[in-house]
Amino acid sequence: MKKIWYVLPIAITLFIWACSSDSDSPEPMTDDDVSITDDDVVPVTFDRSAMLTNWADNIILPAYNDFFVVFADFQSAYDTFRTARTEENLVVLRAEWLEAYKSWQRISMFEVGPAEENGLRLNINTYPTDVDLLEQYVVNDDQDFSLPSNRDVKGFPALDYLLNGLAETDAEIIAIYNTDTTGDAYVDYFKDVISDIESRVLTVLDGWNGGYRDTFVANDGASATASVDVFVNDFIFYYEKFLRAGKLGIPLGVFTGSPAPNTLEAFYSADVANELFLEGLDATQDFFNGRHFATTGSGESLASYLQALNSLKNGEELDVLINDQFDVARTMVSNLDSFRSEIENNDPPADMLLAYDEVQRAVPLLKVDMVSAMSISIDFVDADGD
Amino acid sequence: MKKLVFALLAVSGVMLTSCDSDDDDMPDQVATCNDNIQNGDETGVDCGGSACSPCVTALEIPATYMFTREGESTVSFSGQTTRLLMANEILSKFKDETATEAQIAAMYDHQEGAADFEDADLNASDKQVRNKTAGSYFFSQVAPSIASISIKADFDGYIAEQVADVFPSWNQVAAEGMAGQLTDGSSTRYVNGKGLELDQAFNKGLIGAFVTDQILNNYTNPNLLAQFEEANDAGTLVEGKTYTDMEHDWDEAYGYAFGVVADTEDPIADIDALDATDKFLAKYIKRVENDPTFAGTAEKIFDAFKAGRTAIVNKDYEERDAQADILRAEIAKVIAVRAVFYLQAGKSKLAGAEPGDTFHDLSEGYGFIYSLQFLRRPGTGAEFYFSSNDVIGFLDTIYTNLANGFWDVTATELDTVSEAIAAEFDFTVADAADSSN
Repeated sequence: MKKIWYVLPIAITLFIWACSSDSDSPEPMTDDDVSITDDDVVPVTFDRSAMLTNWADNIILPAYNDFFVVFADFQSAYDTFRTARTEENLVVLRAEWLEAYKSWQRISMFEVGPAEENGLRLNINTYPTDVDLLEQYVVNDDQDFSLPSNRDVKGFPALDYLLNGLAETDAEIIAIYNTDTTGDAYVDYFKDVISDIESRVLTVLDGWNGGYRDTFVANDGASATASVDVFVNDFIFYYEKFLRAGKLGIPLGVFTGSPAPNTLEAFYSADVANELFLEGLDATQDFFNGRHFATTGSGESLASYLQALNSLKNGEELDVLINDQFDVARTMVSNLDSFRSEIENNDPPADMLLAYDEVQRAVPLLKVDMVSAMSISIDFVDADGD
Repeated sequence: MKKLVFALLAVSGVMLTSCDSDDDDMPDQVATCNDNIQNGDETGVDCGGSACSPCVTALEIPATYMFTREGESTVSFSGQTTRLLMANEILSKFKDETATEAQIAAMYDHQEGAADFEDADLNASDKQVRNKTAGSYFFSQVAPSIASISIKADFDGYIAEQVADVFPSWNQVAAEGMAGQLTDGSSTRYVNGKGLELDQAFNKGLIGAFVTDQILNNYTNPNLLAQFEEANDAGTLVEGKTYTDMEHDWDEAYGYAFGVVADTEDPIADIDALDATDKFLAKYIKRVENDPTFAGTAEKIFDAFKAGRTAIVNKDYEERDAQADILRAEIAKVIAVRAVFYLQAGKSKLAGAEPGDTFHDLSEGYGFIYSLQFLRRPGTGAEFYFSSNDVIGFLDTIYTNLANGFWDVTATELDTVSEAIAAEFDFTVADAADSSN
């Protein structure tokens, strides 16, 4: 082998380039017999701008707006509880917290633009909660929620602890909230956490309403900094790191070989982690399909983009494969007991690991097949570890 | 565009067919030195001829594992050396009957800064052995997630059993159903109640689960390396380093094989030195090399490492993968030969004067059998010489299902398993059993 240029892959590339150059010729492409779409023809077959508009106007903004509707109910339940700290009001508050937490799962993936600038997800949903530090803040009332080091004493996970983790039974929890010396301190801390969540999400929504929506939609090109490319990266990153790893893989010990149930989302609640995961998965799939938020309509989406590209994998339509994989994952996870009992009562937690594997199977479909069909570069690579 | 084109290699057959007929329509070719096409009077793609810069001559395979870029070495595998040294220390701790399970487990699952090791450099390192046990790309991306967890649990279990069952019986003679020590010539062997030396299970098992899995199923794995092809083609270096990602990955594979031997650039020049510091793969490459039947094995492995690394420099990924396949075949053979060798060595001493001698061989065999499940067949994505169920079946036959383990094993069981292993390779049980010819 004397010259590097004649190695086979490059030789093949040469042929393909020769092929690509045909699209510049006056004759139209008639390569429908070719199973993979050439990216030269992408721009004329799919309107990225329409997809961005659908994302912003029919999914992202309605989801943020709805979050505030749900969050207002949670806040009013808190106000009721604050004045009358009864078991009954605790149950209502807990239910409203869960609704708000599920509403959060609908916006968690939109970590782009103002959400990214404000590190919204880390500020709202970092878990597990540092209980010792939280208790210290309750006593001293000297927390500063603007510090990054305090991200694990606030947000929805801290509320989980305050609602479910203070004691074993509701009666005992209520007793703590009614103790002369500390009851008000807990209630006040609770309020601070609520206010922090509200103001941070509001900042992000204001960002969208104050110009980012138009910036986002207008940046409709195809480059590493275009909205579609950036957001597809964020979307896959969310699916891989937060939905798959954060909600399942890390508590299961997939990456360490050591189960860590204390790292479950909503660890202090009985079976909320399952519900939150499924809400996140639904949000993911709805987004993939361009489903309008909370209505039956839908618009241009990653799925319709793949259809326009006629993307196939092993002869099957890629958007269908991805949807099927989401469905299989949902079924598997739905059949599980509470994540916490799956992990704590099984060694190894075989059923939940199998469910995790189905969630994982969507990753290469999105991260390899989908992005290569769309000519989008993945901008995050797993660290090698060495 | 370029990226997509590379992704299309898999369907190039289809593309080629559809392109052939178009070739007639191509305009006259003029030399353009940056269009990825050989045109005009170019003598290669975008090089040579009257207009372009001269074509670069491909790198020839060097005599030793030495690669440079602008005069600086591009070879680095310090992380592998560190991990192998950690593994060595863990093995010594299996012989410290005062150690607690927590201590040994912490060494295995080392966290940066923890004072787990004698060697302060190891303590300062953020590397560990446990997360690289069944920790390859294959296990994280392809295999069911339960596989890696179960394998780690096996090694955790060896540690736990050593501390819970063997350490308390350290100073008593072992017997059927009773842990303790046994004489093996001038050596003392410490076994569990079924005659198994857990440190041998841990050591020889890690040759497969840790060293070989990292070499074959991670760092020379075409599926892992493919993600760095674009950067390697562009010559993009890892930030602050002299190497590309792909070069470094291949070096890391090499480091698992030869990272702690005396001469890391030319490890096979002095074959006999290989086991002076290495207790894992290199040591047994030497042992197999020293059996005349298998002479040349060490050179084949070393040459494949060099040739694959050279291919990466030359951006020739087919050649790289061909060399990875040679590594798969040769390393598989090393492990299989040693598995059969130890089973047969144990068999020859059954009912002998010193069960410690027999059990030591069988314990080594146990670990090598365990390692068989990490050997992927050349040219395949997920096809292994032996499944984990095969391996469990072998261990059931010679150990697990026998009430008193090695105390009860007979020649029949050892031969059955030996034959089943050799049947997958081009050597016989007799070839492997006799290391002198």
